[in-house]
Amino acid sequence: MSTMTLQVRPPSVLRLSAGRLFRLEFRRSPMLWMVPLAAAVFWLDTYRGSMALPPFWGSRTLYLRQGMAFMDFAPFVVGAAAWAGGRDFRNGIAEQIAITPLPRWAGRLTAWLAATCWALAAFLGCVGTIYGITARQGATGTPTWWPVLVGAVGLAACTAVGIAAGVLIPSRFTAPMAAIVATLVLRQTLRSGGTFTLLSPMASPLWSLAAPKADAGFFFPYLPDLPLTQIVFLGGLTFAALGLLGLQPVCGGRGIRRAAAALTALGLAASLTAVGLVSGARGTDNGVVIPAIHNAASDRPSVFTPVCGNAAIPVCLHPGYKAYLPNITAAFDPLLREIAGLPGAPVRVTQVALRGRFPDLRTARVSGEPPVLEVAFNIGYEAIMWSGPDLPEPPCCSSTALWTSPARIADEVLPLVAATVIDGVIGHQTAAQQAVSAALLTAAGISQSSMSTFPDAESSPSGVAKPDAAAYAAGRGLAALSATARRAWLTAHLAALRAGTMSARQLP
Amino acid sequence: MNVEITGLTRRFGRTQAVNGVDLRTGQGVFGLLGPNGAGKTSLLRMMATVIPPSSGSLSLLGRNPAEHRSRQELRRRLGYLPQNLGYYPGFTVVEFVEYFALLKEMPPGRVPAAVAAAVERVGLGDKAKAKMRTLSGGMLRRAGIAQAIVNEPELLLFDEPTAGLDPEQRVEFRTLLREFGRRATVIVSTHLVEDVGAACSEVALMHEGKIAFQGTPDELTARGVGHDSGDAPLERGYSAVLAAARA
Repeated sequence: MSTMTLQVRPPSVLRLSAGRLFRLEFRRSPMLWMVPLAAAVFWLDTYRGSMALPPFWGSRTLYLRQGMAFMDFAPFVVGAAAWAGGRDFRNGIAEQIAITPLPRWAGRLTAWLAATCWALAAFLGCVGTIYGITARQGATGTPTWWPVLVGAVGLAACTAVGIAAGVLIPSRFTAPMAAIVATLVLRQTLRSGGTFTLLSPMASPLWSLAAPKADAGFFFPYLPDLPLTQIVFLGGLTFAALGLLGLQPVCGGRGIRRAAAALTALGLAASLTAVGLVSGARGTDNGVVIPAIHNAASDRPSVFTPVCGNAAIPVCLHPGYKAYLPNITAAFDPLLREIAGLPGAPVRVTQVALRGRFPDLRTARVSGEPPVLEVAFNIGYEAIMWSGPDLPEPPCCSSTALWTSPARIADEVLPLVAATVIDGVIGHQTAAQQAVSAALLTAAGISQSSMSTFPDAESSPSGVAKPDAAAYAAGRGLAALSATARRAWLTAHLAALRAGTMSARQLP
Repeated sequence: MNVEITGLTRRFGRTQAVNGVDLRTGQGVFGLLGPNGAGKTSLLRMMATVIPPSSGSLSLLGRNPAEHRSRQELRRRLGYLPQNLGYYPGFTVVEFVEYFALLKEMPPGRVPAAVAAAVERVGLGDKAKAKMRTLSGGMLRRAGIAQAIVNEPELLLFDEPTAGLDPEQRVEFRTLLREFGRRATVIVSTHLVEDVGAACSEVALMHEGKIAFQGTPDELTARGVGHDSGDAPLERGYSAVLAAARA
């Protein structure tokens, strides 16, 4: 006769049983078969896209922050989880399992945990590859972990929802349908850009409140408001789905079903709280602010010592971008040499944080005393990230190709700031000022045609106008002088030029 | 008595599957015979706590399965092989049996030895690491028997256990049944009267949801004297009782 007379099982026994059950589920989880597929899609999509960007944490995590890695995994994870959830029905084993004393809820939670472990292991492995390679390539600063955390919690939610779908809608079609629905829902949140879609891990399109910034985490700390809210929402969704798994009579006694109902209620409450939180979200230059949980300390700029290049006027960048300093210095130097040392000329060119939802180099401005030229360089994003309403034509090439070539920086970037640089020295009101500006631009190798990307006076944020054709014609003589002669002429006539008492005919 | 059933009924809509069954049995192998639709499987499923009875009382191993706590206790001491065995195709035989051992809340330290013993007892030792999907019908049946016996149950319920087994395996299974019968209450639902004759110490014959006969196999055989339907004496007894019930 059996000797099994255990009335109450000690916790150590339960732990051991749970461990063995988990090992079995882990070894036979259908998620295992989905991992290679998800990893392949990740490689094609997120990995290749991310690695094509310069090795900055801001740019290499761009696709992650947009939720692309999550999107690569989510349909497979939901589908495999739904397949796992529906296996009792599919294999006709439900009756045999229903009469075992272990509450079915425990078995389902174990299956969820096993599937989630596989999904997370694969996701973290794939994401870790990007982080590892980026770190080896010498990316400075601190890596951004929030998108990884959001993705991981999101996948746990996907597994829970998938298993719940498989259990509650037991059919052979549940798994593929769940995968398709997950894809459509996530794609829709990506397209929408509305306030409540911010709760989706995929809610960072360029036109949304959560538009990604190239220099996220460089000048200001990465704002955790939105990731925290997303985690609350997705965690709540996970709890709610897991609670649903334990509500059926087969799942255990009344106590267990009450606990499952409480977990569902807790999860729903958390998700609804997140919905409430995000309703007050507002976009700022530094990211999405959720007022209820916002920490004002996150708005304080990061402290750093800029790195400066040796040019006629020093060009200073955030140390995270120091690899690009020689290129930018070389590209800017011809123009800076023309004005260096003149009254009103900037004493330094300083990189500042990107501002606005559509980062734009036209926001370059000269300010302070002594004057400093502040420029926001959009380093690290691909050309497509530049496009948006009212923006200049996209630049020539990929971000990597652009910022690693002084010639391309001179062609594509310098014209966007050149008129602003000169304006502080020369001004732009009179024909003579415009002609001298044109002459200096020509001497620095910036032709009138390349200045086409600089906005007209009416649309220029700084109000600076670019020289017109007449100005270029009038300034041709000054531009043709040697650098020494031009500098001598400029030194002699700068006061009159700035006072507006000189006419274009007085130019050489 | 390990099984005490009084006035047990079960309805499925308008169908009366089990109609006022009274049954009492203790240790040993109990055979449940009857034609298709007699209510054998429904009775077995009620005893296995798969479905609750519509009315009547049921006491198994001294416990009332209608109460949650008693039901849980009972399920730890229960082994059940359903008519249609369900299994996870990707599990190996050992994993399948281990899975049920864990679901039956066996002490984890005893699980590996119990699983190995159960697999050996049903003659699947050489297929222990084979995936369930690769097994033949007979082997699947044996794997199902292994999961039923892995917890050394005090009450074993087998629904058509020898279906799909070859003659040699059936002989071995009958030996196994007799062995279990020395330690536990084993209830076997079957169409095959020779299984009953070879392994059961007591037998009941069901007809239209009722017990038409209960006694020893010898008593059933005696009912067939003078009856000409059936090749073996026990078959003649089976046919005679059924004919009387139909009349």
